[in-house]
Amino acid sequence: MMKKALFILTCLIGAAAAIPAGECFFNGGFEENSFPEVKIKSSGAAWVKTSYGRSLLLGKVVGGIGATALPEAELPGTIEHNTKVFPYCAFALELNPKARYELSFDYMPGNIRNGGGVVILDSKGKILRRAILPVNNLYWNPYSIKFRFPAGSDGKVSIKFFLHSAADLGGMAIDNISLRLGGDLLPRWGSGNILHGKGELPGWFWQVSGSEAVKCNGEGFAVKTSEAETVTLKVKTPCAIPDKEYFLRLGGKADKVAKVVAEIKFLDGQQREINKPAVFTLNCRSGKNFRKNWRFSLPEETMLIELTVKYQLEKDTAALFETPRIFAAPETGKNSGKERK
Amino acid sequence: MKKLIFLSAIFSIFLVYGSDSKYPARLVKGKYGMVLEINGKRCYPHASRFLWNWSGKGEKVYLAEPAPVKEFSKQGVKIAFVGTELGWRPEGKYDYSHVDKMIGKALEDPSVYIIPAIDMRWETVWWQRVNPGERFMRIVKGKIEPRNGGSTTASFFSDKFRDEASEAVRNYIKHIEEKKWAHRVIGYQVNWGRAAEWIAWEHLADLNPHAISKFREFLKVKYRNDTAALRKAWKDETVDFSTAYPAGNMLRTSDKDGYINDPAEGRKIPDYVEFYRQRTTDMLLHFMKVIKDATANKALAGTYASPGYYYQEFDRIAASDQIDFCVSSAFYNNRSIIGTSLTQAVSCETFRKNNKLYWHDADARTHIWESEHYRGNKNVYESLMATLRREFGGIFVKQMGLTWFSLNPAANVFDNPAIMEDINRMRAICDSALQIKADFSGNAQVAIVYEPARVFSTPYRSTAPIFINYIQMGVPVDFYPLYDLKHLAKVKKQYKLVVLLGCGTLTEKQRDWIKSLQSDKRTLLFMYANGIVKGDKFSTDYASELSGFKYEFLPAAEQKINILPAWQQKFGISMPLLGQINAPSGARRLCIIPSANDNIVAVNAKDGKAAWAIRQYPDWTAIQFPGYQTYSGVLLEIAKYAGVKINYPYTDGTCQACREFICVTGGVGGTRQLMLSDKVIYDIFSDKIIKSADGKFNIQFLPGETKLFFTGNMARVQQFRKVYQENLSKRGKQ
Repeated sequence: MMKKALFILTCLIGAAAAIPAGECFFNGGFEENSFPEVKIKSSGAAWVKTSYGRSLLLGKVVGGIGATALPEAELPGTIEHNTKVFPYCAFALELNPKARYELSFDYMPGNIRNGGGVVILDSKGKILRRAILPVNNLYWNPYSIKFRFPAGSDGKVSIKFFLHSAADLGGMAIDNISLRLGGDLLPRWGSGNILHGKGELPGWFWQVSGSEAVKCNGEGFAVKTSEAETVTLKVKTPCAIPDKEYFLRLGGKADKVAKVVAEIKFLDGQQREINKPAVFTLNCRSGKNFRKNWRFSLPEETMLIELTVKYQLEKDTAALFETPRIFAAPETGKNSGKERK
Repeated sequence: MKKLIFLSAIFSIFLVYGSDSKYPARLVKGKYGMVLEINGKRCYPHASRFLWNWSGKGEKVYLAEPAPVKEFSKQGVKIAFVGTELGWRPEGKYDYSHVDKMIGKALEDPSVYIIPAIDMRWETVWWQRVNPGERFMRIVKGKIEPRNGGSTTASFFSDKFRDEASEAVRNYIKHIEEKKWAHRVIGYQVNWGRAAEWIAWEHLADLNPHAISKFREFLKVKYRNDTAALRKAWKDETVDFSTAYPAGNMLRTSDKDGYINDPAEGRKIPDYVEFYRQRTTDMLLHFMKVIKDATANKALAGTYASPGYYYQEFDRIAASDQIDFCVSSAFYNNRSIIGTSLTQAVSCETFRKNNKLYWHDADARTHIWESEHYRGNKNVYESLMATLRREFGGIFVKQMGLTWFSLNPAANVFDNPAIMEDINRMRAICDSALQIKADFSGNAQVAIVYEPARVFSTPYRSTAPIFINYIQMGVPVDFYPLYDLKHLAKVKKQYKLVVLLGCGTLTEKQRDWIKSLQSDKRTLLFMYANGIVKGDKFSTDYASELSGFKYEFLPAAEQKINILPAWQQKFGISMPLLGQINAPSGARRLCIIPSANDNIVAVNAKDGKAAWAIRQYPDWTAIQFPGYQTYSGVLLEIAKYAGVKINYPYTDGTCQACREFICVTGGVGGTRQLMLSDKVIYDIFSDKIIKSADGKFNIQFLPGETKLFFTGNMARVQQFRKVYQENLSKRGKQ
């Protein structure tokens, strides 16, 4: 198990490779048949560097592109054009299959009729997400799209940008591409997701102490105690987001007074602790619903976080707790929200 | 004899100082249009323009002082538009303290000349309060009442306002003429209406009782007081000259097509549009005459205009000797660095051809600023510079004036040294072009003819994209409003492709002019149904008379136009779908009835009806497209088919050129190939001379970048470069 965890970790840290895709039209910024340089920062965030410093340029559309055509199956459903004329550029990454990601970028459509799109595929060719980029204005438009992997995925992903109006000779520019963990950093709590102190698979909750009677209901878990006891949940999950603020959310209801203590440890690539852990405590009032968000920042070098939540319960307590969540704190300003448009 | 010499000397001194004392500027005919001279010296018509700013709350505020005028002067831009109050106060009082302060500040630099600008709507809010019955009115919740808030204005049809405001303008001019700096004022700009553009609001009819009564007078004259004629024209058996009323708030055409005024729908809307344009033109020219009369015809008189003057009778304005200049901007929607580039070109050509000075308002801020509509790059200054170069280059090659302007709500955006350095470069380009007598002969081979009245009554937001597609078709284009067809017919030789952009209603004369274009192996592209209305009759036969195609109208249906494979190959258009026709809901669709002579290029995917067709005649070629709008790429292919020389085969930027300059906006950037007949070009902003044996130049563009090239042989290019380099260092010394 440890080996598998390390393998995934290695994938995350390692530089991503560009997928071979035949001819690729990187007009201006790139030599033909070359790919943008994809780097992983020491903290793990992916970014794309081009010879313009930041712009990725999809080149002019010409007839008979053939090899660079995006397969019809990969096109967003509303496009009905002949697919053989869509050039695209792509890059590939290996990511944590358990995490959810958010790809964000700015794009500049070339013409009022000339938009484009993005499609994200896993290594089996399954489309994880795809979208047409709306022509809101003809200069830089911000956009973001979230995706996650299906069960059993190896975490390899290819991201393809394409044009969708080939009669308009011109192109589309992509800029400021970044990939970050998006949405919940922790897995959704579901049947089978709880491990009773056995596994240490990153990205999975496991229970290290407390009643065996913990029951999942999809959104959280129920506990009934006959003695005073502490139910401890733990999760270790990779993360790769520098300079980013997150929320830890705990919530639930207990019919007697309870105390919840949460601790987040920040670990580097060698699983050494960096910085002091963040500790949050909450006293739950008897019979009252509670929900609390704590904001915290990830230190720059963080590669893994370890969350431990202790629910200290009195005897004969019936409680229902929500799945602990760690999710990106909404950004303030124009780019906040779900999918920026 | 001595006495005679003495008197001559006195007379000469009088001539020099006397002529210099007031309004030293004049327009003189130059090789490529009107030329501005100040004190007998020719100067390139670019100016800084500091009027007012948006407060951010829908109100305008005057600048504390036009400080940037000095900065522009340092770069050699010596003319400034300066916004001032009109000074008109209630009860016949005047207060010119703001006028004196603003102009005094602007003229602190002794080499600057100014054009004071007045915005009458903004300046007369108090007057509107005192005279509520004289205001622009519309229907609000079933009641006719004045429009309030930021868009309030006096009615364009108020005689009371016209008379009293005219007196205020006269007093304003009188006050300025009494000042010691009066000899540095070269003209006046009088603006009115929303955003100073001589419109009340987009497509709104004025329901003020004065306006209604004037509309009825207009109808009486038009229909010779014949109620039966009015009823017949309006298709309304109940209407008479005492009940005739505009169709409602909106002036848009409401017929089946949404574009063409079908006589079967009656003339209710077209009559009001005609009336509105005619009478607002009367008002505009009235105020120009006030300036001319008050200054004994010495001052330049001009206005700000809605983009393209669609709301007035542009032909009458352009032909009038009361007006010398207008300032206007590009379309406001789809603004961005590669968005509405050069849509100002739609109207400025005609103004120049009619011996008027056209100043394009760069209004850089709205292309780049962050807001709901105008989202720009994070680096505002970088974007601003890109925008300014684009605005400058496009206008410069067409030899028109440019005003450096920015509607910046917060502060002056011209406080950046790098930007002012660029302004100096552009000034040096202008001076150098004058110095070497650069050849600005137009070289566009594509002419686009449009119908301004139709543009007026078409939803504004759908108009700009149509024009943008033509502007981005990869070749230089010239625009001709329908009334300027006579001019096009005279200079037709240079055009290989003429696009008739939905000119539904044509007079006999206009039909003849179009027929005169059917020669010289020229291609005419008929977009939608041109000439389908003749007098008060509507028939597809009238359109057939011009193009030769037979047409039928079918019920509205989704229109997906598919190019046929053989033509796909022939045109090299790799995408089979040419587009969807965006017709208004309920619209009928135009289809071609194929005949043996027609080459059917594209069909409607739904029912296989012919859509795009080509017919070749011995002397010319007709191409028909069933809508107004198609992709720029398709237009580019048609241009190639018509034999137009393609300089820049990309459709996400623009390419405007004259004989010795070519201005290219590179769209999203990358390597772009220019194909020119010259073998040497000089990239002016980058200071690079590039040679090519075959006239093909591979140029790298950053996203949104504009480049201006001087083209020619090596000797000529080096001559320009030398003069330009010298001029660069002469900053502000002109």
